[in-house]
Amino acid sequence: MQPEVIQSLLQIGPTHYLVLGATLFSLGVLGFLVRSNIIVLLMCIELMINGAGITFITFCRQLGSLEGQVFVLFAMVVAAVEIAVGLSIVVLVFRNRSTLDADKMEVLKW
Amino acid sequence: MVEGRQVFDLLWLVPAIPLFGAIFNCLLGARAGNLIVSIVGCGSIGLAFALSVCIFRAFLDLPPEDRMIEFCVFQWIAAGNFLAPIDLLLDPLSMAMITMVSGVSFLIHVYSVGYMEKDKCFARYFFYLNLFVFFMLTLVLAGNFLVLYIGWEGVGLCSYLLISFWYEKRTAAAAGLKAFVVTRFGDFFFALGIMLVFVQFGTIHFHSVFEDPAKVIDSRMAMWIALLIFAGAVGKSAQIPLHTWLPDAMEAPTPVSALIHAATMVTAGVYLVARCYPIFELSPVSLQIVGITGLLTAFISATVALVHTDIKRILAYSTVSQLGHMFLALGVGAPAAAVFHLLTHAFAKALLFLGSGAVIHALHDEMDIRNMGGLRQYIPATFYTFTIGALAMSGIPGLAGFFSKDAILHATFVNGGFLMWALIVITASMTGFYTFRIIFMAFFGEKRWDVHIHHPGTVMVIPLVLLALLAAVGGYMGVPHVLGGGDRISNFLAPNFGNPEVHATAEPSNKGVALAAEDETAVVESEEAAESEKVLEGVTAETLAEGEGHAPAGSPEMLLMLVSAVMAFSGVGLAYFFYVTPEGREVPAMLSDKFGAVYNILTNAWYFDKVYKAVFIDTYMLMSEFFWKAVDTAVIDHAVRGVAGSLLGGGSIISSLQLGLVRWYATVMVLGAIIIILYI
Amino acid sequence: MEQIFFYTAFAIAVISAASVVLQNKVMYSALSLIITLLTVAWIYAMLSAPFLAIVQVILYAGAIMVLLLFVVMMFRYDETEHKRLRPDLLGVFSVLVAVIFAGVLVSLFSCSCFENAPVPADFGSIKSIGSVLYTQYLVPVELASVLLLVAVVGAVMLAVKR
Repeated sequence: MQPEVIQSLLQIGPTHYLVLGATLFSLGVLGFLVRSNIIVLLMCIELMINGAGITFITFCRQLGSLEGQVFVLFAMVVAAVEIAVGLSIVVLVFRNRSTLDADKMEVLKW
Repeated sequence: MVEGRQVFDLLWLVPAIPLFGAIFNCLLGARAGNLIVSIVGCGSIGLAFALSVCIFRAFLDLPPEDRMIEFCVFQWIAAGNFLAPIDLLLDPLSMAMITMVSGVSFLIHVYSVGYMEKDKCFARYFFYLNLFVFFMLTLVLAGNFLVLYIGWEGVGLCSYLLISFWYEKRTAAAAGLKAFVVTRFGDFFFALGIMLVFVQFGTIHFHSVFEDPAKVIDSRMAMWIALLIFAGAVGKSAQIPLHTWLPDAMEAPTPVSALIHAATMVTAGVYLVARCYPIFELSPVSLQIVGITGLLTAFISATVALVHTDIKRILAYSTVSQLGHMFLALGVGAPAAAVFHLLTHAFAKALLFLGSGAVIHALHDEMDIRNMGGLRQYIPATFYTFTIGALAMSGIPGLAGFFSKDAILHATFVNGGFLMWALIVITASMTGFYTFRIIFMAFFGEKRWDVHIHHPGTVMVIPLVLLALLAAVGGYMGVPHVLGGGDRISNFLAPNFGNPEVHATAEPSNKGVALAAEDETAVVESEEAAESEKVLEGVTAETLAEGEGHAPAGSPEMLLMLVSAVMAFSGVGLAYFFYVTPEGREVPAMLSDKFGAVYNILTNAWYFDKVYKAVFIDTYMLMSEFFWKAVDTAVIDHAVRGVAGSLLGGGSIISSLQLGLVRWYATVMVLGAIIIILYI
Repeated sequence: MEQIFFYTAFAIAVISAASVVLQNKVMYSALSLIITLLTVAWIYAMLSAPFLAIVQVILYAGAIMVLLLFVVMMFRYDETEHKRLRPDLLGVFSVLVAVIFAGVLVSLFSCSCFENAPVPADFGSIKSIGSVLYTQYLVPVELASVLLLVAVVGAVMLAVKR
């Protein structure tokens, strides 16, 4: 390995954090696509939100402004709301259709 | 003076108060009860009238050259260089009009309270009526063409609504429709005229357009504009060939006929031409067309009025005829006389209509004069007022109609030539005949009815009396010089039309540019007058010499007056002979037998309606049939169904993409994101 | 020192996130997600956002995950997961996601102008965040509280048995 590459790997900068954020986000997307359990789908959404949050925080430190942190705070609030409402919907769906499989919920199909 | 200015600032209230009344009656009228509705309805118009009288007084205090007040209410449309503020213009012409309109409207409103008291749609009636007054006042106060057009269409709308007021009656609904369509025909041309004005002048503001139109347009363009505007006036004022709606409009309640179809709306056309007179002046051809149209209308409709038996239709044809007089006056270069006649006619005709309304009311909706008779003892107040109106109408000396009609006759004689004059004098005589035919048939003779008479209430009689007063003395605002009067109406209107004396004669000779000096015109006038007079009466040289001397138009005018008065009296006398004296009784029937063809033409109103039906309606029906069968079902329906079918097919293809699977949607989203990222 | 912390956190986060995606059992997924969220809190702390790190632990790893686990435990095991991951799906979607990820990385490295910026002394302290939150972002904060209230009411309304 070339020394510059090692150097840049050792010198932790914003890029590293951004790569981490992108990785988490991508894993969330992947999970959303391959899984079919609604609860897991909700979890994958959380993963995506966290990936985006890391990106936010990185940039906000880079730019020296607190707006990013505030945004992440609001994102957390919204995530909490989403989980609360989403889970109650899941419970309701399960009660009516006895399944958690998203692939089986296709009554909206035309 | 300062106070006067303040009064002018209230000008916008003159139309606004009736509008308020209309809105009130529209929203709350049905619940408020008849008493409140009539108070609001009449009160708003009364206030407007009082206000316009105040403004009038302040207006008279102004020196004549200042009598042009503009008042911008608000900016309405501003698109590029097209500016259309809602602005009002107060000059002598509109001043005279608003006073007349609000005054007559007020009286008719009061009358309506009595006439309509039994009607279940009392509030609706007053809503329409107030709305009409609002639009009419807007029309006459307008400071630019667009505002005038708003008023113009607005009165058309109200006219339609009021003609079809008793919409359960099929004929009433049809008559309203007819009025609407026929006047729309003229309005279309009027709108084109406005557009042409804008294209030519770059503005639609009256003041800037009429400042000096000769600078901007030549006589040819002036003719086009003038003719387009005149087409609008023809529709609205029921001139030949668009007059057919007015007689049918008599389906409206009688006060409406008095207000809209006699005194105000139908005169809007006259007002319009008078307002646009500077443009008409530029084009002698258009003035001739206006004059000839007016003359023909006056003559033809007067002949029709001779034989009709429906009291309201007689009056309607008479209105058409009198409007023809006004247009004739405009055409021969006497706009002041036209406006004068407009005012006196408004009083007289409103009076006649209201009187006929009282008669109809008394006889339980009987409109055929053959079924009346002997009413003189039963409803004396109506009889006397009606007679005054009829006298004023026929031009009996001393009453309003005489002076105005005489002014028109004089101008026609001087500028229009002998033939036109003769025709119009005959028409004047016919006017006397048919108005007194009504009187003699309705009020004299034996009674040909057997119903319990329905006496008009006080609210109906008071307006009649007031209008009779106006019809009797209204003429004294324009007593010509020869009779020792001041001809005040012409002087008052001078800022609008220039010096009436100059106009009257300079018009035909130097084609619109009224520059001839006072002396010259005097000589020209007296010479012309004298010449024609020689033809007529074989006048002596002394008269000629006298005419050339100090009194420019003195004796010939006097003589003309005498002739017209004699003609009017002869008409009245003939009516008396035909319908009262025993030996004359048989004559009408005999005449109609003898001249059956002529009689048929007249009773069918010169076949205008039948020809129109054959030419326009039947053709239209045929065309409609063709388009229905050949175009609509064959082409359009198939096209529509084809479009619908293809959409349905396409939709079913696309809808197969809607799997209802969350995963599928997410995948598509991700694919979209990939495309965006690759693009970046 | 920073390198060790970062790479450790990186490894834990990625492995646990992958475990969220790949575990067949929902309960395992949920537990892995808790680990991921805690690691993210760690990262926040490294990125001079101590307040957010704390909130992350309390709100996410605490409240939200407790809620999730409760719901997971409400269902019987065989009901929650009776469908195995399909390898063909996994392959196709991995490629898709890899494309996105690669695109992001490319755009990230194509502008490698990111140097560590100097950070103010009390950047991200609770005091500074609070002052921003309750002055500049007062209205959104209030709206967020309303949103939470609505969510609570809505969740109750939905879940209540009729």
